[in-house]
Amino acid sequence: MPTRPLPIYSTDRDLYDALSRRDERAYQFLYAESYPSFLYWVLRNSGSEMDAEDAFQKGLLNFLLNVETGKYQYQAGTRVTTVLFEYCKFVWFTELKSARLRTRTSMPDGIDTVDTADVVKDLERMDVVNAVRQSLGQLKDECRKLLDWFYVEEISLREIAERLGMKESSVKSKRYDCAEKLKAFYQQTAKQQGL
Amino acid sequence: MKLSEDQYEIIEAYLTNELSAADRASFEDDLRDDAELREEVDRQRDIRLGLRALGIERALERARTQYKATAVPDNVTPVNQTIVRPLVNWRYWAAAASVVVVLGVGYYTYQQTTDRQDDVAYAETFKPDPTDQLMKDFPSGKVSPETRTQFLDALTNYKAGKYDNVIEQLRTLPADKQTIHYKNYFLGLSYLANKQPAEAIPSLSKARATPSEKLRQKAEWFLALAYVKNGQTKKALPMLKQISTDKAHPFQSLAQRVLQKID
Repeated sequence: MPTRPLPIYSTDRDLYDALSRRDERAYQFLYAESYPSFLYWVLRNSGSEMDAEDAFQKGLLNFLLNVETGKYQYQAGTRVTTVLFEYCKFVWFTELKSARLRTRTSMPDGIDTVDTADVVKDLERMDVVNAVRQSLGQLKDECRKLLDWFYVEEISLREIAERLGMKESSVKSKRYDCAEKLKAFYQQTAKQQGL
Repeated sequence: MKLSEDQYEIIEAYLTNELSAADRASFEDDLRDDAELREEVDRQRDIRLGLRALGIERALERARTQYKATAVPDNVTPVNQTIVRPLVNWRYWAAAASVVVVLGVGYYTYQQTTDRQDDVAYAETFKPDPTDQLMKDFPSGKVSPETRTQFLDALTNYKAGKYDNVIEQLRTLPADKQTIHYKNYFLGLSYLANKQPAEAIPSLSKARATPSEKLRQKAEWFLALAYVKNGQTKKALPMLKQISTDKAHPFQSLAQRVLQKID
């Protein structure tokens, strides 16, 4: 029998709220709750285990971004896990419909008729994400670490100041300097990639 | 748009909903009237979205690890159905992309910190590998799951720019016939990205022993560049000349460009 986290969210509203406030336990719950069935579905829809993992990661990331940006709002009577499953299915359909895949072999029946435009638009955000990733990597260690702690790991300025043995006001100014440098790299990368 | 610290802090507060109602209304008035400011706020919003996505990616990686450690999938049995085209695992894409980042770091760092002629040659010719080629380089087939996981962990650290960690991980990876050359190649690249060309040289030298012609050619090229960057022009020259006269070598024209600068 599988070992799974206990159902810690008594309602879907609770789960949605936990996702909105970036509760990592909610991510773990969603992963354990949704991935096995999605894997099963992908294996029966022209995919491999790696395909399932890839599509699920992309789908879950973009779904969570939609929750955080308010694009996806809680709907009473609609299960969050069902919405996520459908979203990940569309991600896989999008992959199947891509020209690269199309040229290699025939498409499974019916997929060409599925409208994936909305998900395609969401997935285009990954270009921005990758440009930011690249730009962050171009910063010197000191700036990269500071911005990573503050914006990626979401550590407070006060705690960062303690870690670095600096005044909070100094860390705040440093954050500004580093963010401007990050922006310069990002603009350069975005221009090169036509974003 | 170059921001003052005050402007930056206001945009930060606006994007995180920390402005008072009055300040928010005032800022939105400014936004309506100032196209340049609107563009700047959009850019800052994109950057924060990207940074937030990186945070979610890390959290999902932890969720995946926890899931793999504690859960067994429900009776998942592969069905006898044609696989259209397996996508490359997202971690491979991340890894490959991260190597591009690594090389990019090297490019900019060196470009900004030096103006020596050999460094100019280095900077002008240091181009990232295409991601699909890097993925093809990853050993497949007989690599044990444990070794593969260790590589993927190292590659994940690449993505995060933790080159010291990557070097430590790769150095302590046990020798494995399937991956030894790939390991040496990546270790060399890691040192190069970490601004340690002297340490990159032995690893890239060893990587040239690979039976894979493509990997060997890459190792040769980056080794020559490591010599250039390390100020060992005499050692770089014969390698670059050999590459520059080999029509089949994918780095022939780049080697010729470096030679024009330093020879």
